[in-house]
Amino acid sequence: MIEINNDNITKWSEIGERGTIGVAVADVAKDDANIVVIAADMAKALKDFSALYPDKIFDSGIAEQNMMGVAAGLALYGKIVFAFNFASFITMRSCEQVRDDVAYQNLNVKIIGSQSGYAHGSLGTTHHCIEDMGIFRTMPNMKIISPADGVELIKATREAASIEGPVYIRITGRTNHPIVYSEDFDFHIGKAIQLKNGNDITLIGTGSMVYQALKAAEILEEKGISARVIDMHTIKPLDEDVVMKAAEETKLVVTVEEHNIIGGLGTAVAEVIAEKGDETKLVRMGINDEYVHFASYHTLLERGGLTSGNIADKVISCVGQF
Amino acid sequence: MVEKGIISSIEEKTRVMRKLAIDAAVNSGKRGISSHIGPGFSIMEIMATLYFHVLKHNPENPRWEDRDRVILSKGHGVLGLYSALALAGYFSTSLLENYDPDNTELAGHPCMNLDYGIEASTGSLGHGLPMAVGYSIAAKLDKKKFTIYCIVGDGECDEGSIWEAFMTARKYNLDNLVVIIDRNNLQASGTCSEIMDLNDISMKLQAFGWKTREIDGHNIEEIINSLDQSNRPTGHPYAVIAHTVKGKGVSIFENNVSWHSAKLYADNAKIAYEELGF
Repeated sequence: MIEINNDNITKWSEIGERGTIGVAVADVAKDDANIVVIAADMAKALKDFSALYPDKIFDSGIAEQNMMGVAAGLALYGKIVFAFNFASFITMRSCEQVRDDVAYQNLNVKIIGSQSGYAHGSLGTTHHCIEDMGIFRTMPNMKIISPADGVELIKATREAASIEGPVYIRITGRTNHPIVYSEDFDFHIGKAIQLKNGNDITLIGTGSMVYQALKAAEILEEKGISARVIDMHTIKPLDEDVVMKAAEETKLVVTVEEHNIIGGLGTAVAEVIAEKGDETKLVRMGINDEYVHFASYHTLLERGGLTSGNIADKVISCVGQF
Repeated sequence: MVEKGIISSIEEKTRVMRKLAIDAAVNSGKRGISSHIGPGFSIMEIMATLYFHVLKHNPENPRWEDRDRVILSKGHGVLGLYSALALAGYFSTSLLENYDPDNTELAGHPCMNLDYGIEASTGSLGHGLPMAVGYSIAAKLDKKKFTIYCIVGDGECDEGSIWEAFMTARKYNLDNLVVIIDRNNLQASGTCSEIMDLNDISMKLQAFGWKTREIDGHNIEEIINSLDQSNRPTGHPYAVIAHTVKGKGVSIFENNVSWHSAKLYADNAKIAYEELGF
């Protein structure tokens, strides 16, 4: 297994999650000869894997439906398959293949969706992906992980390879991805990580928004608001206990995600709080069910209210109300 | 030349398979459920020849690692698959004779069940062939000797994913994959020529780098010869275009688009049983 040390953490931050995924898949393949990779004209993005295992990486061409079917066939045979492409295409162009061939048959296909959310920035809405968690949450057997940084992606990939059945790993952010985890830590699918304690309110983030939530908590601390911060890296199965604990112990829960506020983290948390009958106030921050015009990544986050300053402002305005 | 005894034996299996399919369909009809009769009956000879002559398989050990695989990409041909599997001994023929749609592992489209010999879940068209291609890539990677047989419908070839998979199979030179195209020229709502004309599939596949062979899909000897190892190409994927009649074997079903999927009641079942000699 690759060493999680300062040098690597710095490097993974520089290349971002999208660059780290090749390292992550090559890392798990060292321990399991059964691992293969398929991509749709994207195999070069996994050069860390292909350099070591050129016979185990396949390319379907620009044909995502076929790619997912071939991935299912490789898994039917008995391979552990990592299927890689841009999130927008791998989740939606091959959606029915994911449902029928992968999820329905409960196969060992690990779906990697790169540059999800707004990561493709100015390339426009065709390349953005704000729907993927909502779509995949409705598929039985599917697990969904959205890592907060490169280290967590390495850990998530190891977990995904070690469990039976389909997993979707949602990659967010760009190069120079901020570091959330500066050292090794315990990672388990379905078990959220509390990054900071707090008693007034709780910020639950996922993917790229975990770092923003942490920075927002620092701003709030200066204003006298004690914010708990949770890295909800697994969207399905959701860590319901952590959600209910936050609902019981703090007076406001705020979810933050680089995804439509419909169908993703916020919806999943809302389902838990509503079904348990708790009266805690919930605010969902994310993309407000709209297709935005293109702009650079960081501008889109700023305009969408998905930065630490915006999150802190939102919390302050809500705390006044509750 | 294939021995006459072998041919007549498979023909007899085919006759019984059609009877088992009628059993299942008429039991569904009693519950008001339609069955895909036409698409199952067009592939009866193909399925019988596979399961009773061509395949290396062992119904006593359905998970045998080196077995040949069959993936029914045209999942609505399921009556052809179930009747072959039952008669071969993967499960009891009584599951078809007394088919109960509320208490069965045998869905209206194949649902993966390795103990029953069902290798993959299919039903949505254009899915089975890409899976068969993936299976073949994995088998080749591990230097396995078995063959993957994939049955594709001609109507199914409207799906773009089928042609994507044809390209992938050629790219990886999958000579462990044999595709059998059920060329019955009828799809759900009309003839293939009317709905989406495929024209000459052999020429299209050859342009995609495949080797092809055209046969009468109801002629056991031609099916056997087309699937004989000595007639299969090396270094290329191979497709057998089997010219068939949808609903073959019962006059009222034959070449009749309304029997693509329909409720089978006792009156029509009686005609079918009589024509099949039961």
